[in-house]
Amino acid sequence: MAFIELRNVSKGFGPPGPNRVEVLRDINLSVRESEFVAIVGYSGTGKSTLINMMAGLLKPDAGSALLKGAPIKGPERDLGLIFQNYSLLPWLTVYGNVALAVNAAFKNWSRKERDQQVRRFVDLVNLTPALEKRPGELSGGMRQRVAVARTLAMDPEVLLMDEPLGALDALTRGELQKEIAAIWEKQRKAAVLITNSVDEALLLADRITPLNLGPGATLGPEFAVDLPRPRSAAALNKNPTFTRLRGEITDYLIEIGRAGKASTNDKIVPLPDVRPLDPSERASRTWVS
Amino acid sequence: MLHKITHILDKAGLAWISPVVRLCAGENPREQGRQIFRLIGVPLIAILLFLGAWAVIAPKVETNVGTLPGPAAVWEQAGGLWQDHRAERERRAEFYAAQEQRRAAFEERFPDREWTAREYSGRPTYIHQIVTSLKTVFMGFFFASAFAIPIGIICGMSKTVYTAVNPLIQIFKPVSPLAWLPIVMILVAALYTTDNPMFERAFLSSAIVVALCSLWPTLINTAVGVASIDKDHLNVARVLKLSWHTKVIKIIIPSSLPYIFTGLRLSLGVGWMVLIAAEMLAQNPGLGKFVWDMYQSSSSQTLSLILVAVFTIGLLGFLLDRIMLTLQQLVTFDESSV
Ligand SMILES: Nc1ncnc2c1ncn2[C@@H]1O[C@H](COP(=O)(O)OP(=O)(O)OP(=O)(O)O)[C@@H](O)[C@H]1O
Ligand SMILES: [Mg+2]
Repeated sequence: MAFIELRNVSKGFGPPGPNRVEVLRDINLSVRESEFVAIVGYSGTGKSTLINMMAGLLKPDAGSALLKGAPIKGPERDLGLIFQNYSLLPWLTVYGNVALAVNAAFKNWSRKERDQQVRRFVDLVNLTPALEKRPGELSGGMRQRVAVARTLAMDPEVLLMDEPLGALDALTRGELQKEIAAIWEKQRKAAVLITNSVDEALLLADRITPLNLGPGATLGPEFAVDLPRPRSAAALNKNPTFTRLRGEITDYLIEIGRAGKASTNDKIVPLPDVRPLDPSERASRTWVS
Repeated sequence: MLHKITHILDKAGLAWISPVVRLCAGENPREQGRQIFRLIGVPLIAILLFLGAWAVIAPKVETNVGTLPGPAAVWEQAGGLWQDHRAERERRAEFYAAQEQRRAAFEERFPDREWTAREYSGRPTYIHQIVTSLKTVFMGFFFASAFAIPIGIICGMSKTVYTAVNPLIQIFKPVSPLAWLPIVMILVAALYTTDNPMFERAFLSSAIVVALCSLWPTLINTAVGVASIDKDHLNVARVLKLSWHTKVIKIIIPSSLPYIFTGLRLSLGVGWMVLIAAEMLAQNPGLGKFVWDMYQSSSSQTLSLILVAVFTIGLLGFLLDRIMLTLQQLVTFDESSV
């Protein structure tokens, strides 16, 4: 039985008219209890949109998102989301960030129990030495681990991960992949991983589904990953199933990429002239009238 | 270490001291010399030129209370006010010492009777007036913040509330303190009728007028700060299912703190400016009343005393602004970090 499910879901942004963008069309995805599903796709195709609907942050325009058969009306305690951009609160310490989640999730626990929960999960991602540091003093990989600890500490029934390791270098990424695999194998919860790395998907998932190119992206064919667990990157590289699957999925992605380019070649989309905001500006930007 | 000191100086708005510190540490004397000239020498020359021009022009301006005083006369009066304060403080100390002696004698003669102590009732000196002004402005500033920050947060969180409140903000914001004061004084006289008042009515009226005129920058900046919170942070609040209360305390206020402090700084500036006018009219015994009394007395010292007040007001306003600026920079977290 499906634990979490998207049924005939479509989603777009903006009011009807020329400015509306249709992002996802007719998406069907179901994840069983203790199943790990990965979605791979190109940047900007709607992967975050898809997982945000499962997390209850966005509502489908058509179709429905279901958790254990009941429609998802909004964020729920059982739906744990790891954000693509960490979304840590810069004014709270590592402890504070995790405690915020623990205190919200376990309101009826004693202070001591909650404190232990926070420390346990900070320790799980090997960040105990940085317990009292603020996100600004951490490296990218450490911040990502805080985000992982924050979500895991709430003990959600479904683990939704939006490119959790996307911003990391290959070495750190490999390490965190191992940590996530180990944690998941202990708990075996329903999990959805968004990623742009086929290797990462193969290392972690039971099933991989590519997301086709938009606008109006649909899900591609499913690839079942029957590789024995626990998996290690080194051992997998010599595994023929792994090599075959990697070839197939990569070919599929290249194929949709090529087709997408061909169909968009004739219309040139002007990019808006955006510059990154100077972070020092925000504070001094004031509003006087 | 050196970097830390100069960093703190920069944060405190005292960047012009850092080349001196660097020079003392023996860091590149030529470059530091140039910096010192630029940051300290140039302003100093400008001030000297100003004082020179003032000294030359002032004696040529005749008024009905004598010629316009030059810098020397003003400086002399400032010293006079300080001497006056010192003398008054001595008289006060003498009074209490004498009273203490009388009390000891009294208690020896009548051990069973209660001694009633008397307060020293000297006239307030210039320093007392400065203190009164500062108390008044902070009281008003406190009223303003206590009102403006919560309302600003609500306005920032709800577009509907902001649209509802905005016309009122726009109408009341430009009203002069001189228009508010009579109303406030009448209301205070009518409503603040305790036998044992904690505050003077004039004090309370001035503080309320300061509050009425200075709450707007805080309100508007708070609303803008709250409205411009990073959407990701709000999504965190949603995903963690934070209660409204926790969301406000842990996410909304910390994230808009830099804006709130910018507003507070502007508010304190406006409050200080408004205060003098309010004190003049309400006869609150602070700097405003001092200026007014000097004007009324029209003696030969009138102008120089008023000029002393002008410089005091300017310097204190500058100081308050610097304090707020430092606070503002302390609460500004480094956003590039996340
Ligand atoms: N709130 C929004 N309003 C309008 N358009 C949006 C909104 N959110 C996303 N989009 C558009 O939807 C499309 C998909 O966005 P989404 O963030 O889901 O992509 P993604 O696959 O997660 O990309 P990436 O891999 O870069 O994270 C993009 O074209 C984006 O511009
Ligand atoms: Mg995304």
